[in-house]
Amino acid sequence: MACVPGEKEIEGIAEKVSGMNNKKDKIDALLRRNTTGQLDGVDFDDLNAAISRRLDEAQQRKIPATKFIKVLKAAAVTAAAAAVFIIVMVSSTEKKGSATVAFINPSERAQVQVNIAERDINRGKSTVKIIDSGTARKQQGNIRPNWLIISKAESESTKNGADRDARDIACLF
Amino acid sequence: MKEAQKVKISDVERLVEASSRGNRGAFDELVELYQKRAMQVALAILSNVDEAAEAVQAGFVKAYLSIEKLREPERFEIWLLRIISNTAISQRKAARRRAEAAKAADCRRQEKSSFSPAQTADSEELREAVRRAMLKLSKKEAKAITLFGLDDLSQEQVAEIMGCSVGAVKWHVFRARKKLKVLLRKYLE
Repeated sequence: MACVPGEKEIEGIAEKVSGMNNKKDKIDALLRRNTTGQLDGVDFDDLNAAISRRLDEAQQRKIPATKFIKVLKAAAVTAAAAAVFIIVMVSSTEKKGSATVAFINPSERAQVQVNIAERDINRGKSTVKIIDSGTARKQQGNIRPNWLIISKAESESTKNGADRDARDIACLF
Repeated sequence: MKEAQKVKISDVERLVEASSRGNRGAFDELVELYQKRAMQVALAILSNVDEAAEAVQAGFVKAYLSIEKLREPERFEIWLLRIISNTAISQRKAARRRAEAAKAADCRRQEKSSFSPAQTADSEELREAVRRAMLKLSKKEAKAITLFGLDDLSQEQVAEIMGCSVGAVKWHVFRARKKLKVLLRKYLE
């Protein structure tokens, strides 16, 4: 059953709420009185002069700081430009590798020469198949890498010999 | 002395825009317009004229150095009061140390004095009591009750200055009042 407060209880609650509000108002009034009382004693001309002095000091500090920031910005731009220049120089002097394939006779066997950084590191005669992998890049005018499949016929003894696995690995590398 | 309330918003906007372009004279005018308001906030938080003056000076310097970052000149007052209240709040640590030293000195003085607390200067005692009570509140409670006490600031503006919701502001004010009711009960009777 719902409990309905009686008239006396309502009066009691109202008194309690009013008491709470009264206390709340008293606190606010006390704080306000305290602030107003102190505010009345403040010399605002003095305060204004003190703020003005502090602003003068801050302004003097601000000018060298602004100059310093400008110098810092210029140094950062110079450093960035130098970095770009170095990267361009390094990449333009980089030695690229190449592979040249020459057909010596009408058979499918070709002379294969792998040249990396202007040093011949391998030569041999193998069956060569060239897969053109760069039609799109070709149109862009860029250097286009092609895949070369180099295969070499092996004799039965080599194919099935004891060292065949070692040979296969050597081929892979 | 001019006061903020008597100046048109458009004038304030003009002064803020000029200040952000480096016009020092315009900023000096803003100082003149808002220094009382700033002092009111700092005093309510620190309850000490010297410390409040220090907070106001430091606050105005911070405002001057960063006014070019203020994107909405019409919100200058809110922005400034946020800076001032934050500066005053950050000074509370030093203020608390000084209050503890002052309390110890008071105890020694009262032991020697033949006067009862009631006979000492009322306003001075109240000021010190409020100061100590305010230092016992959390930063948010102190800020909320201070800004809430400024008549012409709406609850929404207080929330904006504090960077929280209106509900949160009300909660901090409620907590602050509850603490102050206990801490200042002697002065509420």
